[in-house]
Amino acid sequence: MRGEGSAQSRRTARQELENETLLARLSAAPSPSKQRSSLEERIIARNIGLVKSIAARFASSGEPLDDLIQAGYIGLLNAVANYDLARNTRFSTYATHLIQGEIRHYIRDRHSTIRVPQWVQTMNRRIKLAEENFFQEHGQPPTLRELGQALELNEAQLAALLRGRDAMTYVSIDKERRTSDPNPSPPSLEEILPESQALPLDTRMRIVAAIEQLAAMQQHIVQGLFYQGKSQSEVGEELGISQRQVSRIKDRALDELRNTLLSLDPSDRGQEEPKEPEGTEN
Amino acid sequence: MKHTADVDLLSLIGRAIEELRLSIGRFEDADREAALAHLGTVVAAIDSYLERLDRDPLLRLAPIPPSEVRDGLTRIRGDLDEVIAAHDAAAP
Repeated sequence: MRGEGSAQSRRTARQELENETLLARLSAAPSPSKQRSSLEERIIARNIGLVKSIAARFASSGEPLDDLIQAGYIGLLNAVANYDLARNTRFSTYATHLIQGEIRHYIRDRHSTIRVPQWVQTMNRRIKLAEENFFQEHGQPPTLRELGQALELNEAQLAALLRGRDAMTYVSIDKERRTSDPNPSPPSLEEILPESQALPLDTRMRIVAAIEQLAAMQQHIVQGLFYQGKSQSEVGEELGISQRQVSRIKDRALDELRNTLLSLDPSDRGQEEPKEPEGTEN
Repeated sequence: MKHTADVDLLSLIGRAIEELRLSIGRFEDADREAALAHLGTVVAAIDSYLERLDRDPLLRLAPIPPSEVRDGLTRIRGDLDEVIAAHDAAAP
């Protein structure tokens, strides 16, 4: 048995070395280039076994293994794209972290029967990003204090958030907890911040989440306007207005967008009042 | 933020984002009443826009499914309503 174990560890060490060599070549390859694509494909092919073995650990989730592998594959792609050799983490460690994360995320999405508030989702994204950055930097998960520092939260606030996140996100795959707590709720405002705080964290995150959603919608519309749109004449005809009116509405909207994008951060603007809009015509 | 009945979606979004940022600023200044007023303005502007969404030329120019926009704005409006309600309930 000991012989098998040591052969296995030699194989793993060799695999790791080959990964690092390929990753070093990848980081030096111009982007985009055929060489880069080819190296990425080789690294992915070499590590697909890692995805399969991690996916197999989640077989009890009830999801088809192929789907779990597919989700894990996304984690592997992200690992290849974002891995930084200069940091002190082995590729396999980093990739395992991301593959597991993607599979868990996939399972949660598939099973979720509760509405996760937008601000919790936003906070989750930030926590996940901070965890990944820390993991890349130090090769191990952050402590509560380290994660709190990265997110500018104190330990108590972060602990409350993580409790809420766990309740919301792990309920679906943790059958035992689901049975005992079928309807978990996010942490309350009082749990997260002292009452004296002028801007409670959950209020901030909810407003930030609303801004993010609006910005995403804005981007979607602008892309549509430039890349997929109907003609102004067609739209004018449909709405019973002239092509010139449609054109003016579009121009004004884009001006408004430009103003928004060029506007300073409100924290720099002090008490400045928003400007009054011009009337729009139809 | 003046919420005219004929504002287009991009203008609505631009102004709503600005109002939401101002709201955060007012909260940070501990001026909760002003902060909530900014949020209320956004909610009212979304309501006003939703009433005339089907007539917004930008949606046809884009073209973005109106149902998708309606759902997105309704969700945002609901979230902001919850914030307002939570702070109203917590008011002394």
